[in-house]
Amino acid sequence: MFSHNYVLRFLETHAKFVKDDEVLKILILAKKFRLSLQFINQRNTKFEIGFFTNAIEANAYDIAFYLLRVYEEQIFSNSQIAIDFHVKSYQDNRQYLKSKLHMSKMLLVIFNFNSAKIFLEII
Amino acid sequence: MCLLYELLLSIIKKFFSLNNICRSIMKTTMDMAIAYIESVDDENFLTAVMLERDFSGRDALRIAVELELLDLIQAPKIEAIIKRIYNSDYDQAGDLFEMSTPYKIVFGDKNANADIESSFRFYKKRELTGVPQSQWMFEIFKESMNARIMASGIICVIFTGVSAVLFENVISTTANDLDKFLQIRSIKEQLMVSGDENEIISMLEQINALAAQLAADASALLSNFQLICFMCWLNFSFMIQHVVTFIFTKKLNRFYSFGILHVTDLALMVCSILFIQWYNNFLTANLNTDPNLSQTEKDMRLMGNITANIDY
Repeated sequence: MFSHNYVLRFLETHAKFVKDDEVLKILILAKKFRLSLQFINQRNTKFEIGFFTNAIEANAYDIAFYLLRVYEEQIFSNSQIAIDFHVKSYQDNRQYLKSKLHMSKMLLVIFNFNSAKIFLEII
Repeated sequence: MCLLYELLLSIIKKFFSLNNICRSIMKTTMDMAIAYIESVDDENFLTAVMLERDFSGRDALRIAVELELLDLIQAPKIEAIIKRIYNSDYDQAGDLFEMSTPYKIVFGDKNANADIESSFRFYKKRELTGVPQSQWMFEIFKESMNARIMASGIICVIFTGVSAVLFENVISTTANDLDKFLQIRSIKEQLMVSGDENEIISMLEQINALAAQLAADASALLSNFQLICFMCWLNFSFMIQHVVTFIFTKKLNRFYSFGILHVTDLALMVCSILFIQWYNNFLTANLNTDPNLSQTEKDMRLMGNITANIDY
């Protein structure tokens, strides 16, 4: 209903009432890929691992891949959380299998033994 | 399924202790995939599934080939799909000549081939049965591996044929004039050791007489050798294509093997290099050093070169 620019202007106007990280989480949960990107670029939001886990939980894999590409170091430094959520996503639903498998391939470098075992059990 | 298979292989590489469980899942996955393929009757749907690409741009068929999943590739329905892709979807019947306008004007039945689309344009697929067409049409050619292999085969046959004619020509010319060339050589050798002035003059006259007879043949021989030299440069393209394929497959992280059949291309390149080297260093030595050289002098030098290298 509202254009991206309108939403961004609205958030800009009411900046003192909103928390950037929470807004971004809402955008990710709503799978608004371009809007999330615009918001990150406009507000220079500091990355949190929660963004990535939210994207995985919400099956917003386009955003998850983008975050993994841009914030690879931060995600890898919180590897256990990222892997746990990713493995759990296989259990939560059976949709987006292709994206999940591709994500697994990208995250394989930080997979630990236990996570791999759990993943195989779920499969 | 192929992606899962690939991922499980990667997991085995990283955690070898999970080998057994991964192998059992891989087997289950493979059985499921084969059962699924068997249960699908719609060939177009199955083709679409097999050609569905992952995020790195590889389709399922390619991954199956890369992972050497022979059970999957050799399933009858998958074999049929591979064959269909190999031959392309387009009808390859007909002949190239049937497509030509003069042929149609002279031999075509204008009443039978009226505008086939006029009655059902925009809401039906084109019905091409009975319309002259050939696998050499670009639309078919670009889709069909079969047509491309045939085209490269035909070009190879033409190339080999032309090479064979030229080689045969050179061999027959050389065989005809071999005696005279050998005669010149033996006279030259006698000239080196002869001390008698009259004998030297007589031998020089003999050489001149023989050279006059050979001049035309020698020029023809040189032009044939020039053509062979040009074809030897073209021979490099066989090897260059392997190098290009090697570079691009490595860049794309795909497998590449230099098969035993490709050794012939390598041998061809080595022979070509030897011939070009012989042509430049021996046969045409001192021929193009002086631009003011007379034609007679050129012919004499050429015959000298041929005589010296006739045994090569």
